[in-house]
Order: sequence, then C-alpha cells, then structure tokens
Amino acid sequence: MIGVIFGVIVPYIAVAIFVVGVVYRIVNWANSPVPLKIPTTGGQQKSLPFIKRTVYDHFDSPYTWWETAGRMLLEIFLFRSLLKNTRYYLDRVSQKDARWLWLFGILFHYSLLLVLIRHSRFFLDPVPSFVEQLSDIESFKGVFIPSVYISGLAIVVALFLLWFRRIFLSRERTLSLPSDHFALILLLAITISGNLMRYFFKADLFAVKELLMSLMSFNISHAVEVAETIEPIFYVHFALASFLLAYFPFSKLMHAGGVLFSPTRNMPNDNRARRHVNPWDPGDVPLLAKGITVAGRTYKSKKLDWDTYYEMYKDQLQEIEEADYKIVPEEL
Amino acid sequence: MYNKKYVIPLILIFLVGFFTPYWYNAIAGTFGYVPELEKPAGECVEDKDWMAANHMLLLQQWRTQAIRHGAEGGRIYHSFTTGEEYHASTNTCWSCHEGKEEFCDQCHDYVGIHPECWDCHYTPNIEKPHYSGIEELSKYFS
Repeated sequence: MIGVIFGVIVPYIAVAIFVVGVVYRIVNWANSPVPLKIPTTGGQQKSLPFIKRTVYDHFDSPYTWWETAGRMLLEIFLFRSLLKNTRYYLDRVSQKDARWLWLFGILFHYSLLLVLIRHSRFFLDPVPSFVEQLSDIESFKGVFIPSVYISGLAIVVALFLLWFRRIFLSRERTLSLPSDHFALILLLAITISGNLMRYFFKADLFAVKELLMSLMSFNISHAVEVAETIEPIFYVHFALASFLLAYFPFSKLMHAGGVLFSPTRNMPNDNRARRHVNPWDPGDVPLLAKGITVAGRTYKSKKLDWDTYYEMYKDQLQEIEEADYKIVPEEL
Repeated sequence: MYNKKYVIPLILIFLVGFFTPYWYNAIAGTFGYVPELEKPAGECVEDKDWMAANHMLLLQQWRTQAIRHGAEGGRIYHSFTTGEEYHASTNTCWSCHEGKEEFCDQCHDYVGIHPECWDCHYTPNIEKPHYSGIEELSKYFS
C-alpha cells in the first residue's frame, strides 16, 4: 500500500504540480510590468569618454546587452552578489569579512548539481558515459568499498552550515522565516535519507530504476507491481523528494527561475542614454499633450497635465475626496 | 507578457531539460526498457530480494572473513534463509550463475555502476591464457 501511494500516486501529482507551477510562476513574472529602471550597480557607469572603466565596472555596472548577460551568468554560476556580504561595525569602524554565505551557498549548489547529475542514472537508459566518469572521479573509485561520493556528503555538510548560520548568528536568526528553515530541513531530510540508503540500509536499485522507467512510460500496472517490492527506506527518500518537487514552485526555492526575472539584475544601467518607457502607461492617453517651452523650443514631457490625469483616475480621486481629503493640482 | 523573445525560449529550455529522460530514451530506443534475467539452476544462499539489495555487503563480509579468519573457519557461511552451510567464495556464486555478462552486468549496466571486483577476481567470462606448446614460447624467445 505504501508502495502504491508513495511510489506511484504521489510522484505523478508532485511532477504535475512542479511543471505546471514553474511555468505558472515564470509566466506570472513575465506578465508583471517593470515601471522603473532599477539595476543595482557596484561600479563606474558608462559616462564621458575620459572616465575610464575597469573590467569589474563592465560587469558591476553593465551598459550593453552582452555586459548584462555576462553579469547574469556570473551571478548564476559564481554568486558574485553574495561576495558583497561584508559586515560593518559602528563601534569598530571596521569591516569584517563575513562571506560564509557565499562559501556555503556555492558548496551546496555545486554539490546539488553533481548529485542531480548522478541521479540521472535512474532515468536515462543507457546511462551516459560522462555520468559514470563523473561518479568515478568524485568517489575516487577504488579507495572505499562501497564508493563514497564526496558530493553526497558535502551537500549534507553545506546544508548544516547554512542552517547553523541561520540558528547561531543573531542577525540571521532574527530575519529567518519559518519557510527558510523548512526548506533547509526538507533538503537535509532528503540528503540524509539518501546517504543512509546508500551506505547503511540498502535498497534494490534495479527495482528502483524499473519503477521509474515504468512510471515514465505510464506502465502503471507494472509500476504498482514493482513498487510493492522496494524497501521502505527508498520511500522515505522518494516521498520527501516528491514533496520537495511539489513545494518548489511556490517557495523561496523558486529563486532558481527568479534570478532571471529580478529587475535589479537583468537590466543594463543605461538610464542616461536610453529612455525606459513604463509599460503601465496606457497607449491611448495623450501623455505628451503639452510640452514645456524654454527659450522658444518646446521639450516634450512625460508628465500628464492635470485635466487628463483627473479624467484618468476620476473614480479613485473622487473616492478620496469623499473621505474628506482635498484634491488639488500639484503646483509647479 | 513582456520580453516574449526571452521568456518563451526559457520555458521551452525548462521543459526540454526537465523531460530529458523522455527524448533521451526515445532516441536511444529504450523507452520503458527493463532487462530480464534468466533464472539460474540452483537456490541462492539467501533470499532473492534480499540479495538484490544487499549482495555487495555479503560479498564484503565474505572478503573480510576470508582475509581475517580464513584459517579458523571464517569461510564457512551459515545462510540466514535456509540454515545451510556454504563456502564463502565467489566460486559459490559461479556454481549456479553462468557468467558475469549474462548476470552481473545486466543490472549493473542498467543502473550505470561498474564495481571493480572483477578487475582481479575470477569470472567464467575471463579469457584464460592457453599454452599451445613449445612453438608459442619460441615466438617470444626467438
């Protein structure tokens, strides 16, 4: 019975929630307008030709599309923004290096990448040779029997370090929400149960792959048959992983997709060269009805004149007036 | 939807990446493939399902027993399933299972594992050196 619930029903639901949820979140973000150009910068922006920019300025204050894409890629693969996680003390007038978050984060994420690549052996047939070679390299094949995968242990260590950072450092403890702890505990449970299954309570991996292959080909009757024979420890790991999949799109873990949509990261810092049009601005409203005339030349302004503005937001403004507030045009 | 030219490829990359097993297995022609093993002649030393999950631990224990306590009866293995005595050696395995390629490799290749047991230990599939006579020696010592 446990085999049918956690081996067949739960994973199908979890994968469906994961795929639909991630696509929903991406589409939802893509539908959100960005009213202002708000890139975060940490370097000299492109300016007059005699103001020199170093290589770092090109990536910390990007101007072109390629520089922005380069900064995004470096952010994704090297977590450069976490390297700015230094801490200042008023009493000491000093700056203390506190870049543990970067170290723990990069340890966790790259271990997770290796672990996921190794897990592809349960989904792909034949197993790609690079997956086998990678497993052999990271386990120093032949040193221990059974092979001890470094990434599998490193991911547990990194998760504990990330969690201890949230528990033992007072500031981090103050700003940690239950969802931060929950994600770490869930990942810890998955990785620890996986390691236990690998080194202590063995499960029949052949049956596991048989189950996954029949789940993927919707051979449900065979999947149910196989699911009943697999050891319970596998279902601890598998059910927790299914919960993670279902939890992923609606949690902070969705930063995997969110980093690409964060306006402070994905916009070039070219405020002074190109105009950023607010996508909220309705197209049919005469925004540029009146220009500002200076010394005989008329400069067109984005600013609305009062009459148009009042017409556009009549309902809301009248509602405010009804609440005994006075509505007057801004004096220029 | 804003920035369609970036968002739609991103969604497609996500879907193609997540469903890698589908197109990979479809190209390889192994969609839903499960290898089948022939049932060997005799009975295994322990229960079949237990052996499928734990045979590596059993072999490891046999190895330790043979090395540390081989002279004082460490190579006698009492089966927990049947209670019978067995000689703790891979040769006991080979007395029923016919070969490495037809038996071990089926599952090991399926889940992508290559244990280094058989780099040294005997298997029936091993190419035995054969001595064909004095002419062969003269090949090396001419």
